[in-house]
Amino acid sequence: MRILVVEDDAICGDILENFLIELGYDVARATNGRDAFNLLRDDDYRIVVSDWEMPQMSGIDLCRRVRARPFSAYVYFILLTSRGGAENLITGLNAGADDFLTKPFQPDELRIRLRAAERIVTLENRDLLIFSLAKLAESRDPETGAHLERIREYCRILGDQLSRHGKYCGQIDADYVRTLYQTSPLHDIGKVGVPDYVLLKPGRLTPEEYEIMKQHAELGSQTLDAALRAQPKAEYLRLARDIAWSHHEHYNGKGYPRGLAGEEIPLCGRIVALADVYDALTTKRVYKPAYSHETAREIIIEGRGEQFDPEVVDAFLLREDDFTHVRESFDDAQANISRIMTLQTTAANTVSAAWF
Amino acid sequence: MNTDHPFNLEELLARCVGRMDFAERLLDKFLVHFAEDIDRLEQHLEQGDWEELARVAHCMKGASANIAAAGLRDQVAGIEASARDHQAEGLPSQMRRLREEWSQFSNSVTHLRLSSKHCSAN
Repeated sequence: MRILVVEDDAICGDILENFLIELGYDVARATNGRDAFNLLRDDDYRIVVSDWEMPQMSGIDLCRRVRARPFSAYVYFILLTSRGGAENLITGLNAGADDFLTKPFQPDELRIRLRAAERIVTLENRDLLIFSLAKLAESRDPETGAHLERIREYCRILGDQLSRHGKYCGQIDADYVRTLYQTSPLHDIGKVGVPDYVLLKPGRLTPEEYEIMKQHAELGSQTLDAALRAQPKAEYLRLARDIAWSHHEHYNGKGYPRGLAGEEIPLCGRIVALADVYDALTTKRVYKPAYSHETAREIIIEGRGEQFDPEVVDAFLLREDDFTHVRESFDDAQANISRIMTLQTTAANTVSAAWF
Repeated sequence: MNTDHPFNLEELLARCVGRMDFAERLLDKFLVHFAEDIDRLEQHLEQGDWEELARVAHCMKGASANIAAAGLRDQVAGIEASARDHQAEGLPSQMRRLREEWSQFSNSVTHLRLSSKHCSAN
């Protein structure tokens, strides 16, 4: 587990870092609240151990900023202080600190408090729940294989590439990319509401059936919106909802369900749109073979500014190698799973034959 | 003033997970940083900059507490309190006591390093 130590004094910082490394943690350091906040935004730290008094931004201000921003995962905050008294304790708790540690820290005390911190952060198994929910929805459509695994990787690559674009500075940071990675598998969650005769139809859909299929975007959005209303501060639900309704919108306004165009379509939807289509093109479906990367690339370039956001297409073209790598890795993984399943089936049949 | 034990090696080692090599590196670093900080305190005292005086003394308090140097910690804690209350009268004598404590601490660390080298040579 990664821990961020925020301490302006070099000696205190060195002692803490060494102690935490010895306990098996992956430790990063910052010497003031501002640098710490940037690290938290750009990387994945679940526990922060921060001094109270520091130049530029104090530990208490850092804690307030962390709580004011809904990070994709809960950040457990331990304030390290030589300040005693109920008043300071209340100030710290009001700022959102989870725990306090008096300076100089006592090794056993720190060890126990970190154990408590770990218990709290590992209770948060949201990521697993999101993916399980998405897999459940996908299980009705077995043809897609490792579609969700690939989609989230493609989204991560596109998000990462776009974050280097000046235009998206401030909009796409590491936390956004992480949330996109976590929530993109929910893009087709609304398919649970599509009847079997449409979803599982082995062939092209009629126009009427296609209209029914198109409803999955709004169905998914409504489901996630209901969850968002219950937890309005959950930014990951907002992103998941926006992905669900907008990933079939087209940049030229000819998509569905709302027919929005250009940047009226949420950025997350524009990213997932390309990732979803690339995956559909490069994998086998009942109605089509798996196209090569080159063919998919041509189709995506043709759709630049039409179906797809030109900047997302440009990001794709800059990271083509990463796309093909993901595709190949999951092809291999899928082949291995299929091989294992075949072996298991053969073994089971052999056992059955011997038994009867 | 803590004249008997300028610092508690056992306490420091516990914080260093028993690693003497790390404790020695820390002490070396501390010797350099703390000496610079004492000079800084003198400057801020001369300039009557109470805020900086209190801030630097606060940092020194944290560092000396972590290094398990209780005598130094007590001296800088006194200076920090005086600076926060803008009490100039006692500060020169507090600074003098801090330098005395610092001298004892430095000697003690040098002694420790010499015995450590002697042990490893044997």
